[in-house]
Amino acid sequence: MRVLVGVKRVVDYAVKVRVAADKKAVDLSNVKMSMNPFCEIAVEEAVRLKESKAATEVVAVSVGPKQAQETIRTALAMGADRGIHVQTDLRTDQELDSKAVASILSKICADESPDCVILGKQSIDGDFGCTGSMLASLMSVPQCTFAANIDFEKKTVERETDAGTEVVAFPSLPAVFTADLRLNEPRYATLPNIMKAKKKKIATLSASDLGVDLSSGNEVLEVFEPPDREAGVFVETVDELVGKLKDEAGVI
Amino acid sequence: MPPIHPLVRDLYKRAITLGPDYPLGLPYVRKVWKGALTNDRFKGFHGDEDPVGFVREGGEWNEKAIRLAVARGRYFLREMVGVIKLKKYREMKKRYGQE
Repeated sequence: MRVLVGVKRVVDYAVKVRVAADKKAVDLSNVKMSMNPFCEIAVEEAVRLKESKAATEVVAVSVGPKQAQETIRTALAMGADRGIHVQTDLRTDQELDSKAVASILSKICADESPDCVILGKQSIDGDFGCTGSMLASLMSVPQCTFAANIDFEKKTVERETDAGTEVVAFPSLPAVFTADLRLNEPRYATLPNIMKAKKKKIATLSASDLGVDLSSGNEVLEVFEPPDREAGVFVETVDELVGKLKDEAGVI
Repeated sequence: MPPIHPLVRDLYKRAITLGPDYPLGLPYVRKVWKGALTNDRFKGFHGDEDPVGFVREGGEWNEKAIRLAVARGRYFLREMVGVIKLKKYREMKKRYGQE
């Protein structure tokens, strides 16, 4: 079974981002970038499948600028076999939207014909959360999103929803899965693994050569920081608190 | 520049590879690990022996002591990886976990 994993190069989760001066985007200069945490979980799931001999090959795909190759190298260090880098200079957090990425991935999947595609459920910069679903729709394959547990033998997936966990069955492979936080705990790529990964190959393609429509369906009007939390109000008596809750907050 | 044992050099390189991901940052990791791995700070595996040193002082390296100490250093690297993973998991759970 061949597994294709999508990885995205995003701003590191620990970085406090700033809005750029023109208020149209986040300031990305000199900011630490790393692999999207949900993509790490997806790579870990694929590598575990390979280790349990359920999968034969794990391919890591990334769409982005030249530095996205570092993200693919991290995926290779975690255990993927080879990488595909789709080069584009469009900003992957804004200018390149989910439909464009899903179109690119569906073209890659048409060439690679994987048995299973695992993506992260959302990225921590765009938080769109729809690339997986769009890809499944473009490929006309089943999709199991927010997967917290995938069972390939019984062909069932436990999905995490707002109401709780539901178990869905997928009829057949190929299928698209998106990884939720509870799927697994990803391994950390240490130096020996990074050294071994240097021998693995990364193929480079250009996004404009694939013949997909890269224009965004959205237009960003403004990017702003959330308002600062206001200070609370001290009350003297319990009656005053109840009065405030009833009249001003309207919660009683 | 005195010679440095290859295992110790590899240990230091592993530490600075995971330095940027460590919550306290690469400068802190570099300072602490460099200080721990320099010759006169190391006093043997149990902490009470004569300084054995990682750097060859004209004689031969104390291979056994170095291997034991590097094993201990690798244990601390695994602890650092644990801190990195825990912090990331807690942050992700706080941001995306509640439903």
